[in-house]
Amino acid sequence: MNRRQALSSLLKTGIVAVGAAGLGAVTGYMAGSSFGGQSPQGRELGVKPIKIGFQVHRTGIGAPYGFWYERVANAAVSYINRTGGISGRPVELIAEDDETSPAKGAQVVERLVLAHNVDFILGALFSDVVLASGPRAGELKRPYFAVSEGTHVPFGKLNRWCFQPGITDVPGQVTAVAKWIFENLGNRVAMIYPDYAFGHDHRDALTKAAERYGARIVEKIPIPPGETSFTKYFTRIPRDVDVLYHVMVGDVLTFIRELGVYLGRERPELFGFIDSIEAVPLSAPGLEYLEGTYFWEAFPRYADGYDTPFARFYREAVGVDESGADKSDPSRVSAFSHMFGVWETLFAIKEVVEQSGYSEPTRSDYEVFIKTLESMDWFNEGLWHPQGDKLFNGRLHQSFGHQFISLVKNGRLVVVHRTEIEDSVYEHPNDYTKQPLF
Amino acid sequence: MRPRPTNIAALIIPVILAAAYPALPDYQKALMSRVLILSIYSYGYAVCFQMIGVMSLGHAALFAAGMYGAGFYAFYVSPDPFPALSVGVASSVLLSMLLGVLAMRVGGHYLMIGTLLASQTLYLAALHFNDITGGEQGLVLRGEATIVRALKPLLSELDARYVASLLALTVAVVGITLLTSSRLGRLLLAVRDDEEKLESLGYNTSLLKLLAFSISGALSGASGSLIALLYGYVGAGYAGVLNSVEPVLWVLVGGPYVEFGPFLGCLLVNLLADAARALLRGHVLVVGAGLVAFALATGRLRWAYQLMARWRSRAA
Amino acid sequence: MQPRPLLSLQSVSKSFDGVQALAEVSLELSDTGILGVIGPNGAGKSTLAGVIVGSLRPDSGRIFFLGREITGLPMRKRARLGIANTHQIPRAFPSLTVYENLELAVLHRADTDPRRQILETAELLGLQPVLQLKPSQLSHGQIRLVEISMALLSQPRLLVMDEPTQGLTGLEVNTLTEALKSLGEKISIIVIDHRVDFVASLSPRIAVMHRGRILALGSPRDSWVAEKIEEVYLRGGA
Repeated sequence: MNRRQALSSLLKTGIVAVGAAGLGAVTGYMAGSSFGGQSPQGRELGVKPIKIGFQVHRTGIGAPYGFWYERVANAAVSYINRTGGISGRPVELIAEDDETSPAKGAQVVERLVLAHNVDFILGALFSDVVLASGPRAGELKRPYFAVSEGTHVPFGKLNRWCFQPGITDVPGQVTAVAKWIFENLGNRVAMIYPDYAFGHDHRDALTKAAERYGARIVEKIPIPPGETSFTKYFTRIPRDVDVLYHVMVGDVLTFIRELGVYLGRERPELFGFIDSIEAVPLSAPGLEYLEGTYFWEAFPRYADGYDTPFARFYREAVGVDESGADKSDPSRVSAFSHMFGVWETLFAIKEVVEQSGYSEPTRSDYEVFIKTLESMDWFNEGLWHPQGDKLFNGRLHQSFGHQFISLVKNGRLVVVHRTEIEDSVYEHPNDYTKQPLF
Repeated sequence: MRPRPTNIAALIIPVILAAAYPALPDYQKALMSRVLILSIYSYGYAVCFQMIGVMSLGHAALFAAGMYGAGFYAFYVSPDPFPALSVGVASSVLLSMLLGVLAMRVGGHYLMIGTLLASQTLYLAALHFNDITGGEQGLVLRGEATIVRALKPLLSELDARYVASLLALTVAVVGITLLTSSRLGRLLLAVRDDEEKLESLGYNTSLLKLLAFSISGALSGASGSLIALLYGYVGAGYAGVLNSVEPVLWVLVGGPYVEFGPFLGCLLVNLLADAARALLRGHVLVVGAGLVAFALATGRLRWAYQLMARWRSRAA
Repeated sequence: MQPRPLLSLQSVSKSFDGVQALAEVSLELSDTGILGVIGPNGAGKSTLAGVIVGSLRPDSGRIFFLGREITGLPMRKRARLGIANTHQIPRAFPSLTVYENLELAVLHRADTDPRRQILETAELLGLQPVLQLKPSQLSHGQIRLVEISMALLSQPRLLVMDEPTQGLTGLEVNTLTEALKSLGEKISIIVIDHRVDFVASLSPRIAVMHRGRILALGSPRDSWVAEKIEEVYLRGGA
């Protein structure tokens, strides 16, 4: 994820961001205080809690995502604490706002470790915050868990203390859906993507996948950040392509409206990444043109898209209704394809703590913890991993999982395909286990 | 002439900071290191705003030029942090001179808009050339490229960062003190007071402004370089609007004395923002804006009004 | 052969928004002496000062100083050639002390002993007691004297003074008159003022301006000069 990626959803949901103009909005997200997760039983028993620091985008451009990340974290911690905690100890979640800023993010890591002495850090979504925070976590010797989709963890840009077990990364997602796209929609593809690192990750991954499956990316159309009108770029879409692949180019409502005007009914198949419309209701004006087009989802927004007992339990626990919106405010659509990563990451921590016997933030305990995590190769689907089972690569510190492909039909997303884990696996020479721990 | 008392007072800052260090809890040590480095940026901004009366809205351009200069050197050329620091400072000085010369060709007050455009350009360029810059995600420097690793045989990471920050700030404070008590410093104040009058005495005020702007660039760039080389990360976010607004707040909160105001303002805003993060879930800008509102209400910002009024009358 | 004039204006014109402030003004000054310029408000006196010191650019015409054309030369370069000025509303640098103000005027001449010169000039104009004060602590008249001191310290060949007596006490006017008279023997001075008596006491040569033109140039004792003075002041220059 990155800074601009949330722009469209930000505008759409009408939450005026803090960021640029000046006075930051104290958004007052009071869902769960810093100490909300502490179990009363834990206090009574006098058991020392496991402290998990949480670097959260409460303000700044990531706030619409941060809201959901924080709600999911609180829901997960509350469930963990109701069901015996971690290794019998309650979990205390210490959340701090990073303002979706790399500088503040790094500062939050320092604060969580040096002032609160947390055992683990649940990290950020936006890649710049993760990249600035990871080195601090590595230096302070505290495990840092990104929930970001970025390539920073698997591609070796960070260090041995940084992990991403709870969510798949962009190359994994693209690799998996590319196969389905080429087989089902056609193998002459034009792609339109934002001209910054996140878009380039998509471009590179799709190009690689095309080589692998013998498809052709006939046109690559980067859109400069901050662009407000897109029609002039559409002229570069060749008439004879089978598929137009689009991701997160800016204001999604304008983009789709202009695309509709330009292409009309004689259009190629459209395949998009849900990031563009994450937290945006499909009923938003202008999105009608998406009818009959396809989207990647990490976890289907509509409950019937992946109806398992685990998914139902998770949906209930985080307070999201059948169509992916906030139960108490149906106009607020959740970041459903990203926020599950927070839930799964917390349970991955729980699993590894319990397996490794970690108890104190000491050298030896961390050594066992990290080596145990690196030796994990599988997380089973269940209440702990409702999105599906995951293959974990201990060298890359990255999970690989199932992806969903949905069709927009009657104004909702209908799942048409669930990819296999193998479809998303790619090779990378990075090996964190070779780095010294201390 | 005798130095003003405020000059001498500023030299106490590094002494207090050194003396207080052992008493600080670990987190405050880490926090203070960051604040010390950012104070150098604050001084850089003050040289521009308080000494020649130019309100720049995009000083992050100079900060980021230093950060990328140092970061690129450390990332691509050699992981030795000390030459990287010089490269960083040189880049921001070059950029400030370039902007200064361009602004002068079209009129001095265009510096304000010039830096704003430059910071946006830098930001967009960093995004576009992300194969080199890492784009909005940024680049993580190797451990060997950081000053902390260079000092590690001698000091713990926490201490190394503080010592390096304190040394850098001391150089900046001494430099500012020398500047304000020098003839050049008085000339800069004269530029701020009445550019035309100074011109009529035969001085090239454009050159003086260019000089001040370059000094401002050197300090801002040094701060950016040190952030890169102490924390091992460079990213386009640092060229963003927020990073241009923050020094304005620091300097406004710090008050009219250029020798220690920028440090005090930076310290106050950052400490309060840090406290607010825990207590109020506040945003640094909220805290800063609150302080500025308070200062306005109590009439403590009259000096800034006057600076800006002069600037406006000159622009008109 | 005529001696080369210090300053020469040839048909200099300047207008603001269609209002003619200077109309084809020609003027020559020699190396020493005082020229008084009088005229009612709006006669073009300050504009004349502006085009000479370089704060205003003439629309047409040429200006020569020391035989060199300076029409397009910026103010600071004219200052270096030796043109100094004082303003109608006196200007000193408020952030600096009086001493520091004076120092700025003298410091760019490396060959002099600044401290001695500053103290001498301050003594001449009665500024010693206030050398360590800032302009905000001075009276209006004192600020004017500071500005005049700065002009003197820059060792000009030509000093252009716009309304130098405004805001001065009678005593200060006397001090100034004496100082200017002796200075006028060494350099050339243009004194712009609307006070005819002051200008007449200072200078045997007077230019009478009205509506951007020099109507008369000569001694105030010349009948035709006196006539013009009376005309522009009493009858509004009809």
